[in-house]
Amino acid sequence: MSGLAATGESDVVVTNLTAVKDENVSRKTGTFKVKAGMAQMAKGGIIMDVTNAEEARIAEEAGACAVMALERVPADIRRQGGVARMTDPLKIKEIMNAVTIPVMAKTRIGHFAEAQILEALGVDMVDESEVLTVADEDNHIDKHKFTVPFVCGARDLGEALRRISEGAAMIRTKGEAGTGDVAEAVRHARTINRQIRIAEAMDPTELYEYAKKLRVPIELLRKTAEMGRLPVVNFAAGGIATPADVSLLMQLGVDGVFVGSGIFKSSCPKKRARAMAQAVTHYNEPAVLAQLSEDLGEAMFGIPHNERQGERRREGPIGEEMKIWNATLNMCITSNIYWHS
Amino acid sequence: MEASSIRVGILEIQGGFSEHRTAILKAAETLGMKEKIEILSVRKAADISPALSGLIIPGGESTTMGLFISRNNMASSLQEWIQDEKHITWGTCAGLIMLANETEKQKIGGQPLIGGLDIVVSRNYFGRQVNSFQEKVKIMDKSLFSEANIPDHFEGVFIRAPAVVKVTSPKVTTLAVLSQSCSDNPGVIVAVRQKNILGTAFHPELTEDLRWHSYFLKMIASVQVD
Repeated sequence: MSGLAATGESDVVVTNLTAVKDENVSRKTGTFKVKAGMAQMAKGGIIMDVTNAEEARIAEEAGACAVMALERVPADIRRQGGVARMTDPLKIKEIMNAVTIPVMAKTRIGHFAEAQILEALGVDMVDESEVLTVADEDNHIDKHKFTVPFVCGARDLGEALRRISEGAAMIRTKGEAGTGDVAEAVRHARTINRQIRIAEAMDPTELYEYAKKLRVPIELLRKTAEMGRLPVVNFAAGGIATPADVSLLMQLGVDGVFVGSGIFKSSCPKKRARAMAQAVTHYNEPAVLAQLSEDLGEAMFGIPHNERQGERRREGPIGEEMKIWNATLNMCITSNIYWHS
Repeated sequence: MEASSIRVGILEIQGGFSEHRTAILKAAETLGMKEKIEILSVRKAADISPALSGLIIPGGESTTMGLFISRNNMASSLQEWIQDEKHITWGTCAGLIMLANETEKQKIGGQPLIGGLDIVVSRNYFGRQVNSFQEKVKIMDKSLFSEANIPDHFEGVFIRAPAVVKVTSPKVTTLAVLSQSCSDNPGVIVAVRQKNILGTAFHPELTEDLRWHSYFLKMIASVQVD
């Protein structure tokens, strides 16, 4: 861990908005600029879940800009159940040795000891992930203390900005991992966009109230409204299975995508991985996407949204829609109603 | 007569390309250039046109960019375009790797590159992301000093960055090094120029300091005059 990051001087620093500072210290590692910069260099790319060296090589050859080292892909975690934890370090090392692109790994929410271990292993980014079993029902990891950058999931602007205030250098939509159904990722991407537009439309006085409703620091909300986007890189994740899914989310304005079970749970992983990697760059060209989508074999089988009802607690006690409008229309929201958010 | 315009292409395959767009436009404004700057995105071979005066290859993953370039048959048009000395090319971080004629620590089986600079580059020279850092680099070329003739430094942002480990031709000029404290070590080379090609291992587009973007625009402007 870096002593510098721990001093807390590294609040959110946005690209091209900060001045050069600090003359004396020569080499500074773990600064927020360097952590957020890592995510900035992943933009326009696809990050693939892999469970061994062979899959990691397939992802690298396909053109992935990073891989996520896992023991089980989300679809298997869903099916098999049980407590899902950090991946065996041996497996992570095997994957790190197989490829030259960045390797990420997941820690349970709030499990800072797992995160410390992942940092010691030298992974390039840590995903504090809801795909694994939650380790701390009340708190997320204080990510400012780490040299390694973190990516965190979010379903709305409030969650995204809270994670950023805890030090996340990158945000991804939560989506519904392991289902092959993109509906939740779309909902989360659209929700974040809509709430940013609402913030942009507010005058400075109204923003204070909106910050309270979203339960976020006013400075971060102000910065978001000013920039008209999240102040860090934002990827889509959860249920993305085809080149068309990639295009859909990219057109909704995300900076890149994560693909979990979508590749290695399909019938032709190599071909699909390659097509999806190309789709991130060609997302705006339907004719190219048509070619890329051709003859990819079967996509992952998937569990559609309407068959999942009751399978697990979905969005906490109140629905997503209500939550947004309650926050937006200044209706009274009391504390503790969000599910570990 | 309306002001002429300068077209700068940015290779938008993957990586930090929008930051360059912002920084170039800011730099052009600061320089008060009389030509209008137009920024075009380069995503396919047809986008690499003689109408472009400059091209930026941004930071990102060199393997991702290289594979995309070869799969979309862009390599030969890029190489041809870059070799024309009227065309100014700048690669940052992964872009520097793409432009190097030799690269160490490539992925298994090697990776497709563009080439152009007579240098040997080592990928991830400083280590993994936890070793990424900010440090002042020492500028060797006085046209990059913030005030004329005052030796100067630039806040280098190095993210899983490469470094130039060897220069293989006298045509290559070193523009910046990471200064080491001991005098017998000349420092790690982190920015070079070979005629019309510029390469930096760090990311000026992630800072407020526009000197490198201005330098690049001035390279373009000086070719236009000739």
